[in-house]
Amino acid sequence: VAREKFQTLTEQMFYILLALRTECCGVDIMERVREMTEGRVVIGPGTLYSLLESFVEEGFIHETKVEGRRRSYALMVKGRLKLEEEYRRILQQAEDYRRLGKEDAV
Amino acid sequence: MRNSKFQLNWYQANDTRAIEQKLEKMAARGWLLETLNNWGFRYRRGEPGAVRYCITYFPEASIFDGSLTEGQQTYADYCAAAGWEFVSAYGPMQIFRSTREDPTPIETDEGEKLAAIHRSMMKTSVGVYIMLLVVWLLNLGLRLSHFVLEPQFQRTSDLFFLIFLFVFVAYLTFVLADYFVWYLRSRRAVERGESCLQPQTRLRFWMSMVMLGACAVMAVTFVSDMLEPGKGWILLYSFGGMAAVIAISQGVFHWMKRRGFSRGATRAVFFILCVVLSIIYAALIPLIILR
Repeated sequence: VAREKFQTLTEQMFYILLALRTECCGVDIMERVREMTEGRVVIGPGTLYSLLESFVEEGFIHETKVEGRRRSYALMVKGRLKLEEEYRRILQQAEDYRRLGKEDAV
Repeated sequence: MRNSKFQLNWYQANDTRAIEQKLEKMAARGWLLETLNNWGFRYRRGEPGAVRYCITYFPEASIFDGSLTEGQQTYADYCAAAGWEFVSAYGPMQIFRSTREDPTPIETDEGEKLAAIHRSMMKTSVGVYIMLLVVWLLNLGLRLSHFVLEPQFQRTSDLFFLIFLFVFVAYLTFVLADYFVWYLRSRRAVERGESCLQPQTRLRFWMSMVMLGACAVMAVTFVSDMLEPGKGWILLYSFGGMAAVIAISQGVFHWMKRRGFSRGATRAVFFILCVVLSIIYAALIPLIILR
């Protein structure tokens, strides 16, 4: 299920992974994503919790620090590769749009 | 003036919006939810006001947990950071509230939300309904085969019990089908980028009324049969014994949860107790009849 789930990343998945390029406490990710996207992408706490669990299970991220109930996470190699793959996919979409858009304009 | 109030929970676990709306209406009247248990909602009196409620599911939690799991506590911490106060939980079902005007929704991914509801439903209600359906189908099959061999009823209540069995099996089948239809339609909606669907509660309400009616008719015919001279003990034992089995098993279950026994220990003791008490209850029936 997880493999199928992560074939492509949703916007929320993408920004959580992007936020974890540097270590971050789970609870602070919501704010970090909000700042990164200037409020355009909002991640609910329940969604954040379940996505973090799935990312750890899939080996995209790992727990770096546990202080009481505060857990910090950071991206792993597999997660970084997934993020880059998604970045290329988005670029390809943008490129296709530009190319086809030009053709339409002609 | 009463300061607390209890209401039975008639909702299915996937009726999240209907439950939230109910709790929000109660809060507007000055009744704030205090706890949730296997029977329903307990409220305490407070200031009437606009309160937003949110029902979420945490599939790893169990009704046999004495307190919140570590994962649930972390989940509640995340929700607190987004302005949601944890109110109560029973098994996988968790209730949060917020007094903010427009708080960030707890679930912002409908696919994750649906998956959590489905995993929780499969672990709790759906699992129980399937088990009940198998047991009552077996019961119905046995009674029908007996009726084919001997096509007469000794008592009026035997006839009504057979009808009751049909109604109960139909009800369980309906509830299961209703859930799976909702789940499949919601999954398709989520795949199209839409939200989970709101369950159709009206038909389910009327089906529940039919079921309650069947229970009432069954109870009345059973009582009227047992009111014949010499059968009072059977009536007393049937209802009293069943009530005792439920009271003892529920009492031990809640006591173990309050004392903080592990999930495994509470579950094992509860199931063993239910089986042993049911066997004793059934074994004593012939003795009561012969008395």
